[in-house]
Amino acid sequence: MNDAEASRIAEKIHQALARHLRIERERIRPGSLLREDLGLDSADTIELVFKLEDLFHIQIPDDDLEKFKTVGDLTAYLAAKTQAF
Amino acid sequence: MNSYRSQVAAEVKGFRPEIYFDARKVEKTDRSAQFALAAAKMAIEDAGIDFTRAERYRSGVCVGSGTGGMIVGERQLTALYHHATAHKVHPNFIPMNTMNAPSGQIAIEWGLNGPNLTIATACSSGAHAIGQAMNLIRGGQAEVMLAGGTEACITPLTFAGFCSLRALSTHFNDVPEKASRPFDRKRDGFVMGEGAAILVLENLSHARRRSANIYAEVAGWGATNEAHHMVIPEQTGLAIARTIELALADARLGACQVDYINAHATSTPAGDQVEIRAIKEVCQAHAGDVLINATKSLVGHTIGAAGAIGAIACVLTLQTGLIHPTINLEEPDPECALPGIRNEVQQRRVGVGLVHSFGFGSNNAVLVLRKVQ
Repeated sequence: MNDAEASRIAEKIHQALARHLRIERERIRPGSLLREDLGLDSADTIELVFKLEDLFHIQIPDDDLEKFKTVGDLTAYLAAKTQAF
Repeated sequence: MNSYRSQVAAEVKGFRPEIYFDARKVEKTDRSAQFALAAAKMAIEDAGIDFTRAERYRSGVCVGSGTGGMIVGERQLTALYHHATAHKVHPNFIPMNTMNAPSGQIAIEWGLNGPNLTIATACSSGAHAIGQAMNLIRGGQAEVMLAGGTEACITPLTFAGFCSLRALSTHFNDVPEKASRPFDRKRDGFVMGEGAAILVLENLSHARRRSANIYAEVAGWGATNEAHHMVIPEQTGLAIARTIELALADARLGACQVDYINAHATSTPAGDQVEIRAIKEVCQAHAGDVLINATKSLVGHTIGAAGAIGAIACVLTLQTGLIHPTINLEEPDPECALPGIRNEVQQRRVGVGLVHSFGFGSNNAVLVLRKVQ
């Protein structure tokens, strides 16, 4: 995966998050903590994952959910996951 | 889709839920809960009531609904079969679809920790919810109850179901505004509607303490089951008559004191006749003096919200002395004609009003509302 592809995925996730949380895109940074900074509770996280699965045409195993602490974790995970295809 | 026998429905147009609550909640609620949240907000603001922290465990919610979150339910079922994978079912399907989503969402929105109930008695749900809320206040479990009904089931599957049951009007597809015509000779079924109505009920001392604008008193109510048939009313009307008598006895009033009845009157051939038979049975010679109207002629049949919408019409009639017309009553059916049913506004001092509400499953409910002196 090249840098352009990685930043395309990051942008897609940032936009999805902004829509999901109804906050400004600028508030979302790679280091933002999903729970503490962006206020996602466990139900929100499940909803977000549902949206991302749809967006990227993938399935995310439940065991992987606990890996997502920051926005960056999500981006890296999805970049790796989509690269695998 | 033109394969539907009936082509008429009374939809709420231009409803914008984000006016009433946070946009993030809009995505997490079915239209039925959205209607209920909107109505609850209007009711609370109109009542000018402030739920202080100390009172929250004494303040509850009781909402009726016939079908629950049908819109989200049908969409998710379609998604499941279309994609043939369980992963396509939205994580919020269950909390959005569940029958008690409206009452739960209202409690969450306003911080009401008291009793929280959902009543499902089909088309009588809204009236039963008000009756049960009154019981909770009478019994001392709550001081304030938000009570009413909500429905949003003008959906492909539900509409088809009512069509197949031959419950809906079909002869006025070209003139939809004429289709809902209770008590008229040409009535041929009901028109599906949607919406919500929520009332703020509170015990009298609570209302007086906060100098509330008291619209009316819920003086009593009656509830019965005909134990007869899921969808066909018992033809003699005696079960409905008994419900009216029980309601009046609960309110310690006699039939001759009834000034006004907000009829259930859905515009079905059998239902309207049975209801008038029951009124004549209870009121005898006084039946000709009672003013009666059918709110469903104006807004269609809102299923689980209907009894609560009827209650609001009754409350406003007690306040204003104005009885809205039963529109489309062009040629009264002699089998269900009474002088007090008119296709025009009537005006008279109304001290006592009844709200009739009957539902599939053989259910009957009658509320007695009274002007507060």
